Amino acid sequence: MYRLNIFLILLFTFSLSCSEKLNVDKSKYQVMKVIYNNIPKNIPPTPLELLPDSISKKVNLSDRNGLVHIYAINLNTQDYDLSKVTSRKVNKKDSITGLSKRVDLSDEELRLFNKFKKKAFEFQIDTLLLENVFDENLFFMSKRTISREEQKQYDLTGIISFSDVVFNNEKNKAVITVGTNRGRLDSDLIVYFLDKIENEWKITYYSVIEKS
Amino acid sequence: MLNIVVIIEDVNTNPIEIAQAILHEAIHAELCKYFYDYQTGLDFNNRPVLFQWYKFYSESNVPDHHLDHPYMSAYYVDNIANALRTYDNYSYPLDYYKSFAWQGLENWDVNNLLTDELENLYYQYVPTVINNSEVCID
Repeated sequence: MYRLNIFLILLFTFSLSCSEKLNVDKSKYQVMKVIYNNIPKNIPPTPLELLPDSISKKVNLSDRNGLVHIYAINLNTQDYDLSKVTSRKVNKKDSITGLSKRVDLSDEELRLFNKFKKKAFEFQIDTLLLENVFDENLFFMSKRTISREEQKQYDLTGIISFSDVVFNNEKNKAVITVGTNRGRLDSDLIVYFLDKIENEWKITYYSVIEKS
Repeated sequence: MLNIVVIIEDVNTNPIEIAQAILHEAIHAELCKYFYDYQTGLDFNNRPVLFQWYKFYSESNVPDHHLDHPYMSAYYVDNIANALRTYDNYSYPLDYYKSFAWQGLENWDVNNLLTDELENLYYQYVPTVINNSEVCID
């Protein structure tokens, strides 16, 4: 009886631990989904009235569909070196004007960012769980950069590489770094700060670390 | 004060591509400076089209740090190609340098100026330019 009790307690503890890990993983993927959705996929053509004659005469008027950007997801999260990022200045996008302005991170967010710089680690993404959270079929590649040949071969625009996601203790603030590569001289690396508001993750601040 | 740092990472390439990378990033820096000055309240009546493009693509949810890419794809490809041709001592016609000039801008060609036919044509010229370039970097 004593052994059975011990076994049941261990089983209960193990299942609790598994359940907590699954919840954390799901929260991480929910954060990734917000970032993924924030990356524009449809870029419209420039209105003709904004094109000078020198350009408009080169434009094929029967093909004014704009661009559709399709991204693969890097199968492995990346441990980006942000040790040189010391500024607490970040961008905050105004929800009304759409323009961003530079603001200072609060002490709490700065602490979370410092925790992120130490605690983010690399792991392989659970593709089934990610597709389940994203609610769409995704294309995965095990790399960070894409060549022009690969773009054409796989009909892709680029590759998105997420870092690990680090949360505050209350699990209502998160930090993630995301690298996007669309080929030579077309990439960026951005740190995002998110808040969980009414059970939904929203981007509060972001900081562009690199762009080309 | 605005401080822009340009880092050229892939230096193990040919001189034309290094020159193209410097031009590409320098244009980014120049446009970034205009955008920064605009945000800090300076008058930019001399670049109204640039800001109309920025406004349009900002409203189309293109992030701030990529607002210059569609504009560059329309306005700067010929300029970059011209500069590369000058750098290469006018060795070949302008079209020979356009494949280089388009690098980094193909994914932002919102007006489809680089058709598949043109891209294939320009790409054919790349080995000729690289293999016979008269410029060198010590």
